[in-house]
Amino acid sequence: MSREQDALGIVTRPVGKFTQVFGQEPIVNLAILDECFIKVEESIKKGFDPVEDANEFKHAGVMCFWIRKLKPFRLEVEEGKDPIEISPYVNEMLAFLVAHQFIFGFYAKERKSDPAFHVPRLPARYLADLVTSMRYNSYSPHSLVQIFESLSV
Amino acid sequence: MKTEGGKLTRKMANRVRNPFGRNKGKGLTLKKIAKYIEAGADAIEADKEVNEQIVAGMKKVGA
Repeated sequence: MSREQDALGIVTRPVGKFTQVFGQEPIVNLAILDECFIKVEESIKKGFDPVEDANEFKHAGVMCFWIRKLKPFRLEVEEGKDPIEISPYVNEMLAFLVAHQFIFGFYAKERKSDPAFHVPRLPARYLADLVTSMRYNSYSPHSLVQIFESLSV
Repeated sequence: MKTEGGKLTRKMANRVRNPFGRNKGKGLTLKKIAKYIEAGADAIEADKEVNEQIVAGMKKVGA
């Protein structure tokens, strides 16, 4: 499998969820998506030695940061139609979904029996506020790491 | 999934030819991350409460 297919494999389910909820499929730019994961790998490698010290929350926060920052997704506006209201938030939304689905999967496969970890659930208003805020405010990779870590507390 | 854009330049692709260097084989690869995300998406859809909150939250964004 090529790197592009691996990267697409990461965003397939989050894109599917977005499409299911809004009825519109985002278009992903492959080069920008690959660049996102290059930056994710560089960030993890730079921040942690050995890299296996980076837990799932570190990976989630860093992935969320770079997808939000580099914006590999866009929506195609059909001719004659108004852009759907959600269109400004597509990258922030998908950045969140990638990170959340990742930590949820890690919890389901690795952490369920550990009493120190809880189901990473969150109220609807928290998700809405976070995604909206990610568009207009500054978030460092580490602040996003802490946000995702707090979901499992 | 709809895609656009071509491959990265060779220079950028070469930078990640061996992304974890001496830690090769350890830590998370893109493939492993994708497997966890698939498991996470399945687990979220199986958990009615979490799924409803996620969908409701997505619809509230920007409101």
